[in-house]
Amino acid sequence: MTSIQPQDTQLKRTLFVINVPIAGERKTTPDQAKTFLQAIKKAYDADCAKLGKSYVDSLPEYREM
Amino acid sequence: MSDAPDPISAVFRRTKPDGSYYYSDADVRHYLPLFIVTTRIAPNLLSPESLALFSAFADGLRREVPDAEITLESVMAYYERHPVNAELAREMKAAVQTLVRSGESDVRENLSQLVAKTHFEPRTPPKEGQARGGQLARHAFSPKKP
Repeated sequence: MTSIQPQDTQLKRTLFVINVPIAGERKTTPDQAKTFLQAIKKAYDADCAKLGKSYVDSLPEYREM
Repeated sequence: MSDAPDPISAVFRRTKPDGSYYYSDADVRHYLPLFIVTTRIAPNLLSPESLALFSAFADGLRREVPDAEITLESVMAYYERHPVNAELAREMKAAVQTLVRSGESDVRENLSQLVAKTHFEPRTPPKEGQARGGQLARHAFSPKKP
């Protein structure tokens, strides 16, 4: 039986991880993703402002706010 | 920004004694959208791979909650239901704090540049005729094609 080398295993896992979700049908377009992220960023910044938190103070976990 | 090794990619590149990556692809992929959201990196700085990753995340969220809007609340609620690898989150928090303590004057800008432009090199070069080795989730922030 041919042994599977770690690199081969890693490559197979890599192709699975990347290709399945990325190459598959996606409903959210890159432009929509940008729009969502822009809105989230704006909302997040507004929440920080309300709490008087600077950007640095709010890093990196929202739940700690 | 200095050319010193950045603490962020060091976390993603951490390896086990056998040379494999310490954090699994699944853990890294699950964590990266949260990192993008919480660090509030300007969307126009994100690579196509990063946007694709976030698109896939948004699709996953909508599969679970079909009528969900992709908002700060829905994203955070999703991560409440599906927590990230706690050790990875702790390491990333420490890495960000290291970056903050480094004294860079504009952490947000530097973090954005770091995440948007850093190229996470694979651990080993690819064999001829093969796709590049390593865990490509780590390349999601790269503007270059792995």
